[in-house]
Amino acid sequence: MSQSLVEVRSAGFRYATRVIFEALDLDVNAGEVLTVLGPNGCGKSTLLRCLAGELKLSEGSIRIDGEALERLDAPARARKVAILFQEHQPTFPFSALDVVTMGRTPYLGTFGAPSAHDRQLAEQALEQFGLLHLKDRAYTALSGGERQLVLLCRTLVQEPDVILLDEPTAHLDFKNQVRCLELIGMLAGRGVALVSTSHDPNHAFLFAGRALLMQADRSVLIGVPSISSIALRSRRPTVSRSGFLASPERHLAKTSPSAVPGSGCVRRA
Amino acid sequence: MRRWALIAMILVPLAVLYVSLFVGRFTVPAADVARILASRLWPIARDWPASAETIVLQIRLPRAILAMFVGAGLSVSGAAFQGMFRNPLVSPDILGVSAASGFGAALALLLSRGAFALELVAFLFGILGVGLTYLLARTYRSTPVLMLVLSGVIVAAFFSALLSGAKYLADPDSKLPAITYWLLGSLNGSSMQTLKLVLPPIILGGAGLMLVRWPLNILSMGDEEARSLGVSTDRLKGIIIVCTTLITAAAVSVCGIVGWVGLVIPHLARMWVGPDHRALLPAACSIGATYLLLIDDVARTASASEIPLGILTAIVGAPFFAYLLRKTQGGWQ
Amino acid sequence: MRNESLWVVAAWLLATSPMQTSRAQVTREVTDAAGRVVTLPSTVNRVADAWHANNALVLMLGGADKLVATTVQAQRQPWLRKLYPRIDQVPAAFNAAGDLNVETLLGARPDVILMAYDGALPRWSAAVEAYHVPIVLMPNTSLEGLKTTARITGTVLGPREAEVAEDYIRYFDANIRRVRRETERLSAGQRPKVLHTSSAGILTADGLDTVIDDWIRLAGGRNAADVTGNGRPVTLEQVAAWDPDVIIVGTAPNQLSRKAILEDPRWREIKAVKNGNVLVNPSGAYLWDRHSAEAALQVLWAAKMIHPELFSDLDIKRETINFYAKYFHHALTDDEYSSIVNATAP
Repeated sequence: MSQSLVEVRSAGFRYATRVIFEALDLDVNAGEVLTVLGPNGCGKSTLLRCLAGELKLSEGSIRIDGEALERLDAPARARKVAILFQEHQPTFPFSALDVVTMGRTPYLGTFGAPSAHDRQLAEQALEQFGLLHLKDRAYTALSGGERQLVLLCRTLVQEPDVILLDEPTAHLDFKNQVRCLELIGMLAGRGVALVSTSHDPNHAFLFAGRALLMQADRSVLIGVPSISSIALRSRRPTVSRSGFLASPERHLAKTSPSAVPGSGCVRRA
Repeated sequence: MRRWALIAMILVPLAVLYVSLFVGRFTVPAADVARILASRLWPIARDWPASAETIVLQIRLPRAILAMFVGAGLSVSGAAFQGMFRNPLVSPDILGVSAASGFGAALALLLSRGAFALELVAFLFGILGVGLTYLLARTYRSTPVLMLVLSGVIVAAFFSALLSGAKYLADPDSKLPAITYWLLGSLNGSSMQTLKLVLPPIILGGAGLMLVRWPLNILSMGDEEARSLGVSTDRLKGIIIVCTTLITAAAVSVCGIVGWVGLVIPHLARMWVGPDHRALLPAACSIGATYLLLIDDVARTASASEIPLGILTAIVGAPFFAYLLRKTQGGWQ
Repeated sequence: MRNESLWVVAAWLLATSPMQTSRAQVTREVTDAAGRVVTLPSTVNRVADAWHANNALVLMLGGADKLVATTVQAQRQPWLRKLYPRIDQVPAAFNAAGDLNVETLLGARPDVILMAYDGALPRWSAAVEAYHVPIVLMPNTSLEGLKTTARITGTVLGPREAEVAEDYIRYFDANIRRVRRETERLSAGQRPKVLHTSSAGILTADGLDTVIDDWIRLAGGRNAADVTGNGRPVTLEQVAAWDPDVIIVGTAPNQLSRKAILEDPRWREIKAVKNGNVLVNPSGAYLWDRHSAEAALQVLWAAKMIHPELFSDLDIKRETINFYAKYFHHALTDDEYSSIVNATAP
């Protein structure tokens, strides 16, 4: 079996003495969408930032497409991993096309500037996502949803192996949520490995991938979610944890086996 | 960028430069000015007084060139900082270069060391001030923008206090007025000598900024986002700070403290060519050069007594900025 | 009981009445430059001088030992320190900015404060007057004003000093008459354009309505600068437009500034530089050119420099030596004279 696109081994991260996660092993394959779930403050964004190389692991290693993440310099890392943050505070009114063209930066060198070819790629990306009508509009004048879609376009021209998404559908209206998820599916179809955090456990079911559940007690469960076990009443993933992921592939118990699910709700991937 | 915009950017400052050589308190007939200038390029019989030639070539020309470079330098530094700090209210002084340079100049004036020493000490103190700000702002692994701003405030306040101390010690008959007028800003001291001293750092710094225009675009989207696109934000910020400091310290050392140029001109440039720094920085250079040249023409010609540059730029700049604020409703678009 | 209290009252009246009558005799009145009538004790033994230039005048009039408070600037004048070494120990209650340390001043217990009058009362006058220390204001914007200043200072200090002041004023007047005799018949065309400048860091010109303008005109020149006031910043081009025949560099660092002017290619075409007529203004107990006691010498020096042909028999050196001997009680050596006339430190 060829190696996974993302290989995480014994990874751990702590802020001073506070442990966010530890001894984490994870593989993500090309074309897979891994949904990361967990309560607020449990470390979803931190995990994502570690995968992006923005934060340095306290222990363990991450390999992207066989190369150690920490040995890559910033442009090389950006060519492999793209990340879409939750918060955007754009100050200057760049056009949407400019913003998408920025995705070519990892290929330009320290003092380089995008060529006509780069702009063409950007335009094509907008076209493929059906966003060409936004091309010359000021990015700051777009709605939150349109901005999100433009940024997804940017990740496309970045041509990464892995795309990390931090709550991509938060603050989006329903229509744009659907579009966003469609685009994610399209990206997966091109062989990119995607890791997406979400508040909404429903998202875990939209793709045929696994879910990673980060819990408040710092334990992590990975497995394929099963519909029969989900309780939709609460938005928090503290919902029916024990039934959500039954017999996960790996589990790291920091605390009691009460986290270990009981009767079989899981289907092995 | 549209072609005509590019042409205007180059031609307009040169045209204003040419015209500036014809104005001044010393009467030189226009025909003489033209011939004096032409005589530099090809031989013409000298039938104008030597004093006229001194005025045009030794006094007006260096001063006008200096005004252009200072104006361009301050504007491009302001534009780069506004992008780096992601805040359109930032001016090149934010890291304390003017306050430190001002103190250096006051010190040199107190010690009566002559014009060259004055410029050198002011320049070195300007660099020292920014260096202190940078060291103060450096946290564990990076220099976040907030830390830079706060450190700049602290360092500027410190040097301002030292400056007040220098003023306190200064002789009210000679040194104190000299310090006061220096601080108000003037291109009084321009000469070919000064040009040779001051142009290299300004050109060097300007060239450095021009090289990083695209990464500056990325940086202006936010530190984290820039890093995710492969930009080494710390290194880029370091380059930008070094370049702007070279420019600003050189400008302040020869010209005193001239405000409202680095703050306002980038806005004008942005309104003209947009936020893309690839067009913005050259536009800022061009508009800044023209602007300060015109202001200096007024400063040295309007009355027998020279009007300090800092006063004129504030009188023109502040109301204009207020107008921009009203027009854009604070939106900066 | 009533008798006893009556005795007490009578005794008290007797005891205090001589004091009352003698108190009536121990004051006198002086009208100062602001038109105020100031009440002074009849003998003044403790003087605070808040005006830098005036300290030298106090010394000259013989009142130096009465000086109990002075200014920071006066303390720093090299020649004043040399002529009057005690000035180092005199507390400097007034600083360069014109501010006053009230406690220092009052600790010196002055009988009177001398101050220049520039049209308004000094900022600290209210604070000081609350302690009943009289302030005498003196004029400082013209040559005539300098004479009045000398007279008022002499009067305040005492009869002996007042006499010296009258003598000084006679000498001053004699110098003025001597110079005016030669220069008053000069036409405008015969008067060289004189630029008095300080370029300690910035190029300035001293224009009309100043003491400097007064002695330039008296000495047979015309002020080249058509600006008003002291120390106005001007551009080099403007100076070239004025094209002065004589340039006088006042205020430190005079020699450095003079050298800079002579060597700067941009000044080369100006008449004064072409003819080598760039002079340094002498500076002794205070700067000669700025409302100082040595203004009496300044008019002679300026006349000789501007019109050497009219004053060929005027020996500035002899006049200076005589002046210093008579008023400062100091015999100038050749080197010392040199340092005064070249405005270098002694």
